[in-house]
Amino acid sequence: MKLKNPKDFWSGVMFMAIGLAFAIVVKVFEYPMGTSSRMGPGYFPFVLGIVMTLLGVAIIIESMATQGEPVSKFAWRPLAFILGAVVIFGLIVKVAGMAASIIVLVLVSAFGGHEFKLKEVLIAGVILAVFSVLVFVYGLKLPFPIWPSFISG
Amino acid sequence: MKSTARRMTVVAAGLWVAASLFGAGVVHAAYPDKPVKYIIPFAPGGESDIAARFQQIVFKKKYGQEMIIESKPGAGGALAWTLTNTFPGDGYTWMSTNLPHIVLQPLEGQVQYKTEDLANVCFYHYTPDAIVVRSESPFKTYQELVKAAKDSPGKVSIAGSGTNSANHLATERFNGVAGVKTTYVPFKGTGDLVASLLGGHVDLAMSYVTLAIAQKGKTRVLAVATEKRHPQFPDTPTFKELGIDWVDGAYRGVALPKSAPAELKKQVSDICLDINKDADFQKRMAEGGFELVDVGVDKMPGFMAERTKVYIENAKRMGLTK
Amino acid sequence: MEQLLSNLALGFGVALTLNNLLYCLVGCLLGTLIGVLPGIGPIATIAMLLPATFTLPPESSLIMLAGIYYGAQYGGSTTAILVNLPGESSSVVTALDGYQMARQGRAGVALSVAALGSFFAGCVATFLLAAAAPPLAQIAFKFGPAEYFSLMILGLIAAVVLAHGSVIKAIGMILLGLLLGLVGTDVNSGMARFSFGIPELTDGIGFVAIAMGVFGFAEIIKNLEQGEAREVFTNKVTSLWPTKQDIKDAFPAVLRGTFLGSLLGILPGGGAVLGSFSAYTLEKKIAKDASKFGKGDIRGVAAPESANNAAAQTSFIPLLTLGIPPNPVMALMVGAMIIQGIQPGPQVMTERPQLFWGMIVSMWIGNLMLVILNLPLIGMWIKLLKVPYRLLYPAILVFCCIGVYSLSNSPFDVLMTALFGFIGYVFVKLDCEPAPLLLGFILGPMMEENLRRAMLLSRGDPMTFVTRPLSASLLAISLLLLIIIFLPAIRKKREEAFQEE
Repeated sequence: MKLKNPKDFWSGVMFMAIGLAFAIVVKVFEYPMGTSSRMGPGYFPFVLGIVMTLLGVAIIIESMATQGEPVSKFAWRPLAFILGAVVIFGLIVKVAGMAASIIVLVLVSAFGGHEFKLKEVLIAGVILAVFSVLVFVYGLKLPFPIWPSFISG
Repeated sequence: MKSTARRMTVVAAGLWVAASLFGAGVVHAAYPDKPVKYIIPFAPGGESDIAARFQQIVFKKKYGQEMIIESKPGAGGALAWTLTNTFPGDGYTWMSTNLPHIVLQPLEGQVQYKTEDLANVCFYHYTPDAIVVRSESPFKTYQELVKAAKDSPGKVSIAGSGTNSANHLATERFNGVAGVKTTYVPFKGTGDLVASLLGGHVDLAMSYVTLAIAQKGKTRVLAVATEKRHPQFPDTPTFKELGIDWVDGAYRGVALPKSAPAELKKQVSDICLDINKDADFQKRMAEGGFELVDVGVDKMPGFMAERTKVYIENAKRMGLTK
Repeated sequence: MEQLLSNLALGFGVALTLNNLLYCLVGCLLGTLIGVLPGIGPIATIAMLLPATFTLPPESSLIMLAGIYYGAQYGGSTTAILVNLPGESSSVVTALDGYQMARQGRAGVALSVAALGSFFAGCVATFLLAAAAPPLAQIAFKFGPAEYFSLMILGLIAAVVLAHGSVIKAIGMILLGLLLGLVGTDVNSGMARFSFGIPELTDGIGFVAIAMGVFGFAEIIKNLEQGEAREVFTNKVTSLWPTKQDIKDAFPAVLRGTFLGSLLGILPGGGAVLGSFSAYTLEKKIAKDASKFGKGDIRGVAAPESANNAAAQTSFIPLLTLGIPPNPVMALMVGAMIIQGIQPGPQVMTERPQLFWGMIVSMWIGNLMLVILNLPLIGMWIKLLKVPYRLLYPAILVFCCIGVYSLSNSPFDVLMTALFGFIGYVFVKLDCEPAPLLLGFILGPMMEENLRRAMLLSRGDPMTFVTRPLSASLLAISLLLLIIIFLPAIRKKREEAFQEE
């Protein structure tokens, strides 16, 4: 079967799946439902989850009746490098310090672009690192270490 | 002013000498000789934060060191309390703790610390429980309130901050001592419930004296849980006068990581109680509605045992079993 | 009136001292700075500055802290317009049309309209604050849990209008936002939901993590996907200043935005947020040609920007007249006042008139300073867009990461932002617009809390929502709005169906 409106079809699937997931979690983890006068923590999310599931089904049905564009391919390269760079930054900043982490972040994220000129990227990284240390650590006094912990001790 | 300052210096110097004599040969003799980090497990601007900032001023004045207040709010305090013992026990990290939170949360069973994990060295003040109604409320006295609650069970609505919180506990305690059934309506925080209280959407608030001070003129206090009548509300009876044994509220104190040596715990406890003696501090705290108490490390085991007993008794009524 | 004039004179006397002018300026500058930097909000900044304000007189310290707050509102819209990064809930809406204007080379116009609209709104709202604070405060009392719930319903329905694509998908996004907002500790039972034993999740997912993920990061990935061949921003930058036509379009929108924002700002909890997007909704609904919204319509910037600035000023009304902090920043201001030995509440106005009026006048002066500061800065911001995108996006990432990390000083929020970046990219692929999701996310927990509170108070009788007049009228407006939204959609569908035949 060929999908007539893939974008809407998959949106519907997404809403249905997430709605179901929330409703199932309420049931599996046994969040109390309570009564309508004294609603338990499970009441509102369960109802919302079911409503969203139904809405997802409605969108799927609608997608069968309408024409729409196909879902374009995922651009894995920028996706991986951008989000990867962010994750690495989050994990290393406490140990590596702000300066080094920023340079790593800039380097890795730059791989996600189309051109990569090492010299240009390095210069940008250093400028950003110096600027950030001045503004955030000295100016706004955010509690970031500047240098890697093995240097500053 | 000048003489106070001089007296402070003398006290500080005396303490210094005493401390160094007492702990002669111990590494911490000169404690504190660098800034102390004071972690507040609640958002800035709340009671814990404000009280700590009053302490901060006196600490700097008396001990010449900075006290750096770091707020680490989350999970009703549990986020920070879970981390307490991961800090070095060198006395340079203080953790602000609150009763009944640190007893109730582990009872409830969703947090990852136990009450015993927190080495409390002092409790320095409490905010007394108070029953507050808006000025237009039909309830003029505590007795009228009890009568109305008895006549129509479940109809009187009581606003409070949070679930399984100090306010919730106090509401259940009220239900118990008055022999009534009321509806507890939890709000996100004290600031959150004020509009509903003043707008008459709830009948009363089970809160602290601090709320009544902030809303003076728009509210009436029916009873306060202090030893003696509160100076700012001379016409309001205490629960004791009403024949109820109820002197309670939210207590705030300081805990150290468990690894801290006993003499260091004593030193921090002494500092904490010493700050309580500062005249300026006393004035500021009184104006804010904070009642000072001096529970040092020596009195701690007895105090905690007594408090825990009261909390567990009332917690059963809240449905917190175990 | 005479009373008002003498009060204002007293206020000017306090606010115009050299010291207080200086603190006002410092506050505005700092506020603009942290507003422009994504992720770093006024809460962290004010908390950090509290000890420094101990030694200042109460007037100066509060003037400065207030400056940080409304300065941050100004600065927040700059990032929303330039790089599609709403750092605060109120600038989500600004990003919709503002960023599109920037891509068309009209960033300068968007920024200057935002600044001028904000200034106008700030003046009006400050005047309201001075002239009618106590009676206005009464509005807050009329709102009980039932009324709040109905207001949230109205807000959610209005949020559907934010999307310019499919209505049904917009509703899906709102529901998704509502559900995400429920992650964390349930206020009513104290139980942790959907947190799966992760302590950081017991306080819920951070707004900033979601906003930066689905708006900022997803936008960057999308832009990189389209390639350098298609420049993200056109090189042809039109004039920095709005044309006559722009002003003609924007001015009525500013007026309406100011009105809505001032009114909703008074409501504690959610008021300010509702202000900016209900202003947007109103503009889109009354516009003769609504098709330009979401594609760079100047009214889509002017209305929400004036609304959020007006709301930022009027949110001081519950604080100063009732002692009720309507949002976390105001709660912090309460703390600052108590530390200074002032009990915030109705007595401030009578017992400390110089503080009360000084602060109000300083707000107006602060707004003036902000406009003077920001207009020349626009030229500089525009130049920033001339930086090649391959160098601009790593810089955006750096500022985002630092801001997000500093929220709790732990990697957790950074990882969450990355996760939402991925989710946001999926949304882009499926043509699901994220703005309604964010509003659902903000309103969800408040809606549930008030629903449950109202039902507790009515002892399980849902009629409470229609028997209370204010709540009933809010629900009636919601229903009307729902009809207005759905009618064109149905009509269009039928037309399409006919065309196919």
